Amino acid sequence: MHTRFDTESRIAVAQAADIARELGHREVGPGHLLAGLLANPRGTAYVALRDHGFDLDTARDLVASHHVDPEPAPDAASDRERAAYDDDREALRAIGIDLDRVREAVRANLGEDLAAGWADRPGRERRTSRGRRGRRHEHHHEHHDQGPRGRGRRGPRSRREGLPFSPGLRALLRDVRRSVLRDRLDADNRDDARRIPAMTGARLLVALIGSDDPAVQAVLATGTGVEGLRAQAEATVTPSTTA
Amino acid sequence: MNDAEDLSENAASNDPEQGLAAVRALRALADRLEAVQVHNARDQGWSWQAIADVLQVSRQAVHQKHSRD
Repeated sequence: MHTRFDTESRIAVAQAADIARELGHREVGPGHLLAGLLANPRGTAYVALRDHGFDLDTARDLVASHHVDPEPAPDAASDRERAAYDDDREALRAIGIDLDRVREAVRANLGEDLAAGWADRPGRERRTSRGRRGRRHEHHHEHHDQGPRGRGRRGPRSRREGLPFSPGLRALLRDVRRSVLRDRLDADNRDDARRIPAMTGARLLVALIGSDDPAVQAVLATGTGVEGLRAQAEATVTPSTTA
Repeated sequence: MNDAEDLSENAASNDPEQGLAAVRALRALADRLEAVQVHNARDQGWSWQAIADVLQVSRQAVHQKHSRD
């Protein structure tokens, strides 16, 4: 079942992605999410964080220095690029264009490698075998919010949009989802269960406080007390009044 | 495929597999060249508007497509 994000958690995730992008990171990690919660003064998580001495600028700086990006250029991607480049070089040779010469000229005059990111066209799918194009419009699975998929080739958005979530952040979101479902199962009746808010800023904050992510830990060390923060966040997760 | 005769035969080929692959490859080349050249133009101080004028697209289009590169 899909766990809905409430407004605060949605904003936090969007802010986290923005912050990660601004910092030049290739992934959105738990640290960015914590900073994302701090970027929305209307959120309950923001209030708890502010009450305990946290602020966005400090958090952002610490995330900048503690976030660990994955190793660049995974081999699979560059293999794919090379294969695509080789395919296209053959195709261009057939119509009298020497792609390697063009590449050489670009390198000499502009100092850039034309082959770098060759297969990385926004929204363009490389067929790996023939006759599979009918699958292009197949609906994606339920979580299709990340990655440069399914965009029109001429679409306005940059290929850098939609940073992937780090494994740590994905695990954290999974845990939050589980906690929501668990609380719903624990509820006395179905109506109560339905009223338990889904993914909320407070739940994200509680999960972040329990995270061992180094960027998160570095940020949490700056406040006036993590235990007080945890207590306030947990109190907000299941409020007596509706969130 | 080295001499000119072979080349022209390939270019005139009516095999769709080959013809379409050439089209795909040209697009990939154009896209990649565009990225490199826009980047270079920006480095040399060209405005988005000036770049857009030469590419004959809207300023917004070129900015959205390349501003993060």
